[in-house]
Amino acid sequence: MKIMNVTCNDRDRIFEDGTLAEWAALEAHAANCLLCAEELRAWKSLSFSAQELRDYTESPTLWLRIERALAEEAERKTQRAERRRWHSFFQHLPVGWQMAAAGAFLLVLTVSAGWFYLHQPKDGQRADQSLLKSKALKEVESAEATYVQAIDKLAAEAQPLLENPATPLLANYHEKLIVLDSAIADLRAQAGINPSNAQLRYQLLAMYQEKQHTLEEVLEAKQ
Amino acid sequence: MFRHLSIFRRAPWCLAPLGGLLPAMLLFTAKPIRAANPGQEQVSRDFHQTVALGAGQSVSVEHKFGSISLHGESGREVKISATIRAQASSHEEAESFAQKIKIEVQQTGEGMRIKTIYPEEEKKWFHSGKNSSWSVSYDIGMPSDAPITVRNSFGSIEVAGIHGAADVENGYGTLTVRDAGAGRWNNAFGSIELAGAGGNVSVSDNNGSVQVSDVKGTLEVRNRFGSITTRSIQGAVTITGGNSAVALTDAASANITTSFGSVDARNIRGDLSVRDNNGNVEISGIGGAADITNSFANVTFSDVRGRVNCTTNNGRVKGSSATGGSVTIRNSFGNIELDAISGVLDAETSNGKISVRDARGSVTLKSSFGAIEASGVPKGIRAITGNGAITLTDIGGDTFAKTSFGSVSTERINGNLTVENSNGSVTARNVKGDAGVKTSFAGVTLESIGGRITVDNQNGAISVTAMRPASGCRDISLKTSFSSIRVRVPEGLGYNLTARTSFGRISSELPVTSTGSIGGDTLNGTIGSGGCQLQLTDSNGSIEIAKAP
Repeated sequence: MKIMNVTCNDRDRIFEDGTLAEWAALEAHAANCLLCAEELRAWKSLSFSAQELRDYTESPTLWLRIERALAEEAERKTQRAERRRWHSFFQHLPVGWQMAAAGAFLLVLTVSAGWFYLHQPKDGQRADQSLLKSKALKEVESAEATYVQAIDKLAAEAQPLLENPATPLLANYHEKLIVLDSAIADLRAQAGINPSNAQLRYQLLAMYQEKQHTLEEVLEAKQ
Repeated sequence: MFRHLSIFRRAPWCLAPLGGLLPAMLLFTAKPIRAANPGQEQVSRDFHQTVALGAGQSVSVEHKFGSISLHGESGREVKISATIRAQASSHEEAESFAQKIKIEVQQTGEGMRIKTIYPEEEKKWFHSGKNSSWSVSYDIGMPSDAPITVRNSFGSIEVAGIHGAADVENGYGTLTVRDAGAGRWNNAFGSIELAGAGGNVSVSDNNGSVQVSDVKGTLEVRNRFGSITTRSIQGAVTITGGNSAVALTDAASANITTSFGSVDARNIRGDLSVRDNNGNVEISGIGGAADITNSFANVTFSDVRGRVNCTTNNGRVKGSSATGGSVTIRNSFGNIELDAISGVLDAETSNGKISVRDARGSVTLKSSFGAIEASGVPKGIRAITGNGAITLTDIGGDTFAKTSFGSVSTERINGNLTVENSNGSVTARNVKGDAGVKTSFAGVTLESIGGRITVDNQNGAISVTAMRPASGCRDISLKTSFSSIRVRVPEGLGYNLTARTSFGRISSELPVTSTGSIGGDTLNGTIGSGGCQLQLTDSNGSIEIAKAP
C-alpha cells in the first residue's frame, strides 16, 4: 500500500476524522517526528481510557462505590432525623431536667473515656484483620463477582487475539494470563475451604485485578 | 504487580465515635472476639515457646495461611510467639478448631524446626460450614547470626536483622527483608522488598514487583512478570526479567536480560550487558563496556567510558559522550543519532537516517534508504548509503562518500575527497586534498579544491573551481557528456590543456598557446608555462575555461 505524505499540521484533523490511509501515513510520519509520536501516543491512551469510560458498567469498583455512597447518604439522613427528634424532645423538658440530663451525660462520658483510656489496645494489639467478618466477606465476594463479570467480557473480546497470538507480545500476554489463571484457581480452591482468611481473599482480588489489567493491555495492544 | 486494594482498609480504632462509648461499655466482653454477625464466632489462642539454639544451628519454619515475622536478637534463644485464630458458626466449634491447630517445635542436630500442622481429618468438617476459617501468625525472635529456612504460602513474611544465610520461599504474600545476610529469597504472586544484605543475594519472583537495595555482595534477580528495581549493589548484578520495567542504579557491573519492558541502568562501575526486546533501553554513567541488544524499541546511551556495542532493529539509537573505546551500532529500520564519540565509530542501519556530530575517531557510516549527516570528524569518514543523501561537514581526514539516487554535499574537508554516486548531484566546497568524483545524470559542483581534481560524469554538468595550491599546480581531469564543463583555474599557474568536445564550443578566458592542428571541437595547448594536466572531455556540450576568483 502506498503511504501518503502528512505533516504535523494534519495531525489534529486526522485525530478527528482521518481515514485509515491517513492514520497509516500519520503513524509513518510519527516514526520520525518526536512531537507527533508523543501526541499520537497520548491520543491513543486517551482514546482507550475514553472507551473504558463509555463501558462504565464493567468498572469493578464503580457500583461498589455507588452502593456505598448511597448507603452512607441514607445513614446520614437517618442520623439527622434522629438528631431532630432528640432535639425536639429536649426542647419540651423543663430546664432542671435538661441540666440533670446534661450532668448525667457528662458523667457517662467521663467514665466511658476513662474506661477506654485504660483499655485501649496497645501497639500490635489492634483489632485482628486476618479473618474477615461477614460484612467484609460480603464486600469481598461482591467485588470478586464484579471482577469476574468484567473479566469474562474482556476475556471474550481478547480470546481471538490470544488463541493465535500474532505477535510475541500477545504470546507473552497469553502466557501471563495462563499463569494468572493458575494462581486464581489455586487461590479459589483455598478460599473455598478457608473462606474468611483475609490474605487469601485479598490475594485473590489482586489476581483478578491483575488479570483485568492484563486483558485491558491485550486489547490496547490490538489497537 | 499487585495494586493496593484501598477499599478494604479498616478505619483506625482511634476514630471510634463518641456516640459508641455508652453501648460499648454496656456490651463489653473479653474473649471470645464476637463478630458483628451473630452466626460468626472467632477465637484466638496464643502460643509461646522459648528454646535455646546452639552455635551454628539453624531455624527452619514451615507454614501456610498466615504471616511470619522473623527478627534477629542478641543471645542464643529462639522465642516463638504465635497467634492461632479460628472462626466458625459457634464459639465451641471455633474453640475446637483453634485447639486442633498445632505448632510443632522440633530440635534436631541441625537446629530448630517449627511447623504449623492443620489436622487433615478436621478439614472436611472444618469446611462444612461456609463461615469456618482460620489463620496463624508468627512472631519469632532468634539469634541474629543463625541461618534460616522458611517455607510459607498464603501469607506474608517479614525478616529483619538476621545475618545468617537465608533460604526463604513464599507464595501469595509479600516478602519484606531488612538488614539481612547472604540469602536466597523466592516469592510467587507477591512482591519482594529487600533493603540491606551483607552478602551475595539471589531473588526470584514470578508475578510481583522486586525491589532490592544496599547489597554488599553480588545480586541475582529473576522475575517473570513484574518490575525489578535495584539500587546500590556493591557486587555484580544479573537480572532476568520480563514483561515489566527494569531499573538499576549503582552496581559494580550488570547483565540484564528482559523483554517487553524498559531497561534503565545508571552508574554502573564496570561492564554492562543488556538483552531486551520490545522495551526502551536507556543507560548512562557506564564505567566499562556497554553491550546492548534490543528490538522494536529505542536505545539511548550516554557517558559510557568503555566500548559500546549496540545491535537493534526497528528502533532509534541515540548516543552521546562515549568517551572510551569504539562504538559499533547495527540497526535496521531505525535512525541513529550520535554525538561526542571519542573512539572508532562504525554505525550501520537500513531504512534509517544516520546523524553524527563530533566523532573523534575514524568513522564508518552505512545505510540503505536513509540519509547520512556527519560533522566534526577530525580523522576522516566513510559514508555509504543507497537511496539517501549524504551531507558531510568539517571532516579532518580523508572522506569517502558513496550513494545512488541521493545527493552528496561536503564542506570543509581537510583531506582527500572521493565520491561515488549515480543519479545524484555532488557538491563539494573547501577541500584541501584531492577530489575525485564519479556520478551520472546529475551535476557536479566543486569549489575551492586544493588538490588534484578528477570528475567522471555522464549526462550532467560539471563546474569546478581550483584553489591555488601552496606550491606548484595540480592536475585536473573532467569528463562528461550531454552537458557543459566549466572550469576555473587560478591565474598564473601552468597547465597542459587537452580539451575535446563534439557539438559544443570551447572557450578560454586564459591565454592558450596552441601548436599543431586546431579543430572546431578540439583545443590542445599550454596555459602559462604548462606543467599540470588539464584534460576536459565532453560530447554534446560546451567547454569553458575561466579564471578562478
